[in-house]
Amino acid sequence: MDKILLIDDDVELVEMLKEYIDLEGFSASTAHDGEAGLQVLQTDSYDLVVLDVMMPKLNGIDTLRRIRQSSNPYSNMPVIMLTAKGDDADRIVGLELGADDYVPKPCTPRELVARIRAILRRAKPQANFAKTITLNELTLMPEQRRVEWSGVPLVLTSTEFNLLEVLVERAGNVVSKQMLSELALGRPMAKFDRNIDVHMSSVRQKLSAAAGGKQLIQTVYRLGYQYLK
Amino acid sequence: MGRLYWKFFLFFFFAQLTAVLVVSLAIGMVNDKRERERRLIDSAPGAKTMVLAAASTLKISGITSLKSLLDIWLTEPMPQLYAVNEEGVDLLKRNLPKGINKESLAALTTDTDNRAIQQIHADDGHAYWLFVEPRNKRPPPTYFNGVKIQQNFKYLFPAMPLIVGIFVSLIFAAMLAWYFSKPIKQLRLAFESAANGNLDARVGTVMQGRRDELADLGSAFDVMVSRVSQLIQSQTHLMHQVSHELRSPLARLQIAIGLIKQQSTQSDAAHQMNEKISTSLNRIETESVRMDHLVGELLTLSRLESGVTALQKERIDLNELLQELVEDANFEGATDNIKVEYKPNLPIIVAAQSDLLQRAIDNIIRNAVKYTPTNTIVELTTTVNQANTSVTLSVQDAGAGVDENELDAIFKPFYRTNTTETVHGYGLGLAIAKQIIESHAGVVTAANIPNAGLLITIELPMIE
Repeated sequence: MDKILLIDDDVELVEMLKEYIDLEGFSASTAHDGEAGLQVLQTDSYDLVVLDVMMPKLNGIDTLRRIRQSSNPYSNMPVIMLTAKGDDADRIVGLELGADDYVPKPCTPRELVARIRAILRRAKPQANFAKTITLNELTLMPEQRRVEWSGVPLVLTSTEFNLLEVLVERAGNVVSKQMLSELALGRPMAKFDRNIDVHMSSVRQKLSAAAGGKQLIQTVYRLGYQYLK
Repeated sequence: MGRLYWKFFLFFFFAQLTAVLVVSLAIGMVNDKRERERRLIDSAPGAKTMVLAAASTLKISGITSLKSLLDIWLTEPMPQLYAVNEEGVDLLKRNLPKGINKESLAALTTDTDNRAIQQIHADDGHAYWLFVEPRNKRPPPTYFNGVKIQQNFKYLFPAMPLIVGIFVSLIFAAMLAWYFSKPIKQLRLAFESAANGNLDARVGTVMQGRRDELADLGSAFDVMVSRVSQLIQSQTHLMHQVSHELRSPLARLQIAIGLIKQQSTQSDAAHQMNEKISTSLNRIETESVRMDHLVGELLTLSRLESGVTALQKERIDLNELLQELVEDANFEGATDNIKVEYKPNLPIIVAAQSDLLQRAIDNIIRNAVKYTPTNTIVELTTTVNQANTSVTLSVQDAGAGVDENELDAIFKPFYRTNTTETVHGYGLGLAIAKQIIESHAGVVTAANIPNAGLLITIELPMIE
């Protein structure tokens, strides 16, 4: 059973949400502020975190920043941000810090569970994809969800890994944003969605830093992205 | 250098130039008069000697000796000495040289510098002016830039002082103009910056060290901007709080509904659940989602109106953006057999925040699709102006149009046409579109086209 941690300061909401998510076949725990959430994360291991942006003590953005610190054993665990709708700034900052997806709040619980399922499905190593892919200096190990550049490991979030995997599997070909959204995020691309672009910019930065400034992923205007062979 | 600088500069310069000209002209005129008078007689050293000799002759030997001396000189080929009494009559009854009469002689004698004329009282009871006629009747012409000019012109416009005067007044005018126009330019830049939403603009730092009314104006500006900035900050903060507070109950409501529905589908109770209750639940869910959308739209609108968030502009091809939007709109209009047509144009590059511009144009297209009757066409056209500086996008529907008096009102929040027919929406779409277009330095207008429908026109500045 997948374990999910809900971090949100709205106690009543979290309790109802926990009930709903439990009934959908997950095991949910709750925390009511960022600091409490981080403590829970240290004592127990979870498969996914749902994180509200607006919280007292430690807000969602700072909590995410702490989670993503590379010293943590859980630094690349999947995170879904709950953002106030229309607050693009929060959303973009969240994605840039490595949130895997965001759900505008308020949302129907059905929608949230669908996102959780999509991300968990992608985040788990899949038996039929367990082959290591090697392309020049790049080595992709889907079974461990690890990436190495010339033997040096690259720290990617779950969604970033998915995006890179999709591109590397089709290296040399242009992959559309719609396709990337469906394969890597597990959902069709929404209107005005900048999600893929933000994640992709992060992947490119990390990859380029590891490859000594080489740009391996190219943006093809209007079409999508391409991993250069 | 702005217009103001040049205005200040020219005014100061002309004022100073006029002053220099008037003064030099006055001095020139005085000098000129003196010069002209002096030139009536010969004032060379030789002439002065002759006058001295004649004066001593007159004083010592009397009028008859002078007369015989003059008679002797008359036979010599040299400038002649005249002895003219107070009635203006020469001792030898000769005609006086041109310009000489008793008035001019009196004027010449008062000129203390002039030793070439003397008035001596003789023993016959008359006083005689003694002077030598000028060598040349006219002064020699002077050439200036190849053009022959009168010698006395030089005295009318003294060249050297004039050149120095012009040069100095140029420098002073430039300095004065700079001194006045610089703080005004700094203020203008600060105002522009503040108007563009940068409320961190201050002029105090750049006007440091200045102590005058302009500096006071600058510090008043700083006070105003920081006050406005404070107000906006507190308003934005309040807006965030309100939205958060409004949304919390909505979020709980949606989860509560979700829970009931989830439990009803998972237990047998579902089948026993009253059909009416289940319909009502669906309705409640729909309404809560609607309310949530409304709060979101309101937030977007107020955020755009306050202009707090700076636009993140990028280069966008309007042509491509339209093609995408038209595709979506056609998909949605298909159920009512409404077609959205757009003939692709050449790339039209505008600087815009892509999601906002998409949203603005999408709202306008949706609005047209909403009000156009079934089986009709919504037509989009783009025209680039001649200078390639702006693009006009027009969206034409085949609906009933809007009352002429209300053409502007349709861009106001919560505006609804007076139809009984219920159309889905919150009345915020066009208001948001207008705000977005205006924040991109564009203009949006509406007009009724007879026998056709409503025409909405967007004009946006292009880059390149």
